[in-house]
Amino acid sequence: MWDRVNQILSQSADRISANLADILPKLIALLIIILLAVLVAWLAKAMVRRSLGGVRFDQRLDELGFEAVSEVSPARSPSLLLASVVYWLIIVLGLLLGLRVFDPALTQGLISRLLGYLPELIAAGLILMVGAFLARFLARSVLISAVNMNIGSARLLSLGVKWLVVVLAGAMALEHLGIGRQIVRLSFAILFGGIVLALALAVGLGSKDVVTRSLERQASKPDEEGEKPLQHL
Amino acid sequence: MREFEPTLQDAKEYVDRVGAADLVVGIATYNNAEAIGETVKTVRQGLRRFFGDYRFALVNSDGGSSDGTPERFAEAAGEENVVRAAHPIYPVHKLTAPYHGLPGRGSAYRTIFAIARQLNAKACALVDADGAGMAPEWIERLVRPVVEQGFDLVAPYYQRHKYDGTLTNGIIYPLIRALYGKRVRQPMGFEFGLSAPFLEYCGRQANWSTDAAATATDVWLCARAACDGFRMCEAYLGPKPDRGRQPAAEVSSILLQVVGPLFVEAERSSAAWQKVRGSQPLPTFGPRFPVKADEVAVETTRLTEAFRKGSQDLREIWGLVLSPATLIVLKKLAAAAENAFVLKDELWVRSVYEFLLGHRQRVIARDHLVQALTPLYLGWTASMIRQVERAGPVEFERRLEDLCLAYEAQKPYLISGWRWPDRFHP
Repeated sequence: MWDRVNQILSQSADRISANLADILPKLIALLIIILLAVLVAWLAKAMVRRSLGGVRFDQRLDELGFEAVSEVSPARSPSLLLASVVYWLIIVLGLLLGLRVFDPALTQGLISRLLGYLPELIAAGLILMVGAFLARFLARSVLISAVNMNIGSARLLSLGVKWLVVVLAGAMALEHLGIGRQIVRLSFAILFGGIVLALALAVGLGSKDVVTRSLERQASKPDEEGEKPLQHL
Repeated sequence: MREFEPTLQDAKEYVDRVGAADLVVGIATYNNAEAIGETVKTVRQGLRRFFGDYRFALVNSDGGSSDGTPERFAEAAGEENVVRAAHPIYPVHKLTAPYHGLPGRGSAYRTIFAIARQLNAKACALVDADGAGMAPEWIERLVRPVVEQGFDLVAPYYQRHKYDGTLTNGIIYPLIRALYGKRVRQPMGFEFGLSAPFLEYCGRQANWSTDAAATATDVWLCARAACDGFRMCEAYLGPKPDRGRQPAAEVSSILLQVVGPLFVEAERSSAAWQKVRGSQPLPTFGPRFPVKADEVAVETTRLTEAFRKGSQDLREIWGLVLSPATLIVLKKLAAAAENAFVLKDELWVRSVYEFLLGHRQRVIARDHLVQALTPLYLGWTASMIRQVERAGPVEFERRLEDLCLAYEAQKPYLISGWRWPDRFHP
């Protein structure tokens, strides 16, 4: 019986060592590929930054009127943003190559699914980017106009506009990616409708008297105060 | 005669009939039927009384009036040489109220200049269609320096109250003076005199349709003449008439239309103004008059409140434009008591220069940047009004001179910021 136990144990050990012998080189290969990818990505990032810096890419982009890109870039540098994109692309590519060592068929499937999904991903990314630009631009427009018109809650208004656009862009991006379509649509409709209704109620009921007083004040200002209006020019 | 410009085909018949003219008086109109008759009468009197020996023509560029303005113009002109032309007014001109109240003024001036060149005019005077308060002598003061003394641009100098023209006094005049070295006291107005070489120069400008020329044509004319070495002088005209137009009411909109184009011009001509040091007064024509300094009640608390609100709500935007040192002082000022609210010249000038640098650097969208200057400007206005509350004409002029000298003294700061922008906006 002990012979039988010994046999089973040695068979198990053989299988484990065979599996280890099979998997270990692959793990080492994966690690080497990832390390190489990190190295190549780091070099590529440095090269991209250097060459874009050489042609004054950031300044040129600003001069062409794309200052919004600077504003969303890390350290206000679009060249750093581009270099980071290149860096992470190479890392992801390296990871996919590394996984191919384990199961070529699985990786092949993963890559083709990813490539098929890539246009949607890019489109969603673009929607988010445009949404972010628009949100910032509109928020600033509202803030400056509200301050110049002496509206009390200028910052709140600006923040509201910003998040409204961000939420709208986020919902559009998720819809585009096909993630939780119905839920996103419904949530957005409820949220958006709720905000509009709340604002309408707030202005219509809560601020009715304030608006009336403000309009009356505007209409009767020159007669009441008898001041000389400033001529700025 | 030179080749006729295709855009002026409507006026060709009139130009052919007139042939040539030594002097041209141009009037841009848009629904001015009520006032145009009196204006044309005054212009005719001025021309006949002072320039009877010259051949002259009246040019009317109309922006599509619906009240019969061109017909009234022709009636009032009688037997004089008249050229009728039309300039386009696009819907965008009607959407935004211009600070001067005349939609499409840039296009109108361009048309008048082109016709004056076509007629080989030696001098061209521009006058407002609503000539209330205008005297025949104005024509003489605008034209004579050009035809007899060889000046290229005659800028108007109106008699005004010390509280009027705060934007002109606080930014436009001192900035043009500091940048280009010419003391054009009132660069904004409707009355100008221009020489043939300057008309030729204006016609050659490829960017005539840009914002600066199209929006703030008066500022553009003065800035260009001052920058590009044309001989300039000023004509004392008299009290600035209160004309019945509806100009832009919002201060931020006025800033956008006037300060924005001036900043654009500063960017275009940076190579020239960096070499200029100090400033020179301009020769003047006509009887001098002092600034009106009678006591007028102006409530400044609203202005300081606007400043405080801007300082609080726009601090992130100001933080992108202004240097930390400027920001700290402005923050302290916002917390100051009402009776201690004084925005010193040095701080104000530094702020304006930093806004100009930020505009050049495009630290944020340019329209946003210029509009974000509004609360700061209102704060300065309040501070200035309080400082000159008891000042007479002489004291007021001295106070304004101090401000202009502060602009000139801090110009090296602007130049270094312009040359090494990273030090200012890291």
